[in-house]
Amino acid sequence: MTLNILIAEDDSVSRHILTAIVSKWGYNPIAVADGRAAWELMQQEDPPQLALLDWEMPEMDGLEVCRRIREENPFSPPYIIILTGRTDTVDIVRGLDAGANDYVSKPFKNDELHARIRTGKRMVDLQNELVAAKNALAHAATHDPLTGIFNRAGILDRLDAEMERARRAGSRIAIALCDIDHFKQVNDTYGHQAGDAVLRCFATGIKNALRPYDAVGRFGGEEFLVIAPDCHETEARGLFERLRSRVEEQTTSTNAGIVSITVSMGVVINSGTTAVDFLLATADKALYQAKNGGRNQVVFAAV
Amino acid sequence: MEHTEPAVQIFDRALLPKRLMGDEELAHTICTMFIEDTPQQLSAIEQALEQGDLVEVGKLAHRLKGAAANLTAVRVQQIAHEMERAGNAGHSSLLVNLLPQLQQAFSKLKVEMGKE
Repeated sequence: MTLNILIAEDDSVSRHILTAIVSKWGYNPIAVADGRAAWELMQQEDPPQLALLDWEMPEMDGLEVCRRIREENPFSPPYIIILTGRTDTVDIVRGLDAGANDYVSKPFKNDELHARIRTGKRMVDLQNELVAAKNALAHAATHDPLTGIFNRAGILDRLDAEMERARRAGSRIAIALCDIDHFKQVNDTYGHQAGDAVLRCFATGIKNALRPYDAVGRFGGEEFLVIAPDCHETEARGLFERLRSRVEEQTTSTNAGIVSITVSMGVVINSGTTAVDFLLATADKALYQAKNGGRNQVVFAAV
Repeated sequence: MEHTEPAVQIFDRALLPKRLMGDEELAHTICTMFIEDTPQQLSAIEQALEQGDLVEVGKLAHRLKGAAANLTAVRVQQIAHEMERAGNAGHSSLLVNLLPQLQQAFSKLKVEMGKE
């Protein structure tokens, strides 16, 4: 993809020369005539990742644009090269301190500017790779690779956030620990590949049955945690009973044949004020009761 | 003494096309743009000077200096630079002397640029 380069320069001759040269070098120049226009452009979605800013400009100078961008601290900040006739060390230091990455004195020499833009592009490319890697890591750290839903860490983060929200809003939150019944038998009878298919199908089925603001994560082997914010007991009884019967009715086609499963659930409802560990332990007790009571059922903890 | 200065000190005609990677047509367009834009800038400088806004004179001279430097219009660049410094230093009598020199340098540049 062609790199977009913002050019902010008030003198029209310099602006035209810069635009022409940058375009001949194979980049995509976007030219503006003052600092305010540059700043506004940088606020837009998907802004240029490299900027050539003249220092002295009307409305807002290049240094102020730098400062504002650094202050804003965007997730993926642009690489900024300040262009100026100033060559005193004190000015160079001021420019870099304002947040410029590099500094080219005017009138610039083509070869030097080109090299500095190439340097900038290397940094931008590296930054893009880092951002992509960071996003991928963040996703991997919070998601289960088999089912694609949250993993334990991901759903617990979400639980913390939803508890906080419930506390602030004074609302109720329902959480359910769900455990697939006799899952070991599925693995033993149909093999692990079929077991994996059942887990995927179960996770997708639950996810599709939830409201948009609910969440589900894989808590451990065949155990899942469902969070339903803003949910009173009547509503929760309806929701989890619906989930249970859906699982019972659903079948999974695997390479070893069609598999049916059931699920047991332990539900607890809270106002966001109880410690998460205690809440999970309570849900776990209710789940244990559901298992003991014959499985394929939902038990609400008395809190 | 200015009457005897070589043409290259007024304007180095070879440099701009070179900077533009041999694009003579673009060089010509940019020179034309400069010739068309500069009279406005000169009158803006004159006006600011009349109003005693020396800081503004300094800013305007700075911009003109940059444009001239790009075209290697050496004389205009030099005088604009002196005016920028004089403006920033609040040196109005010096500016009054420099302005006609700048206007004259621009006239010569225009003639020099007009020669093909």
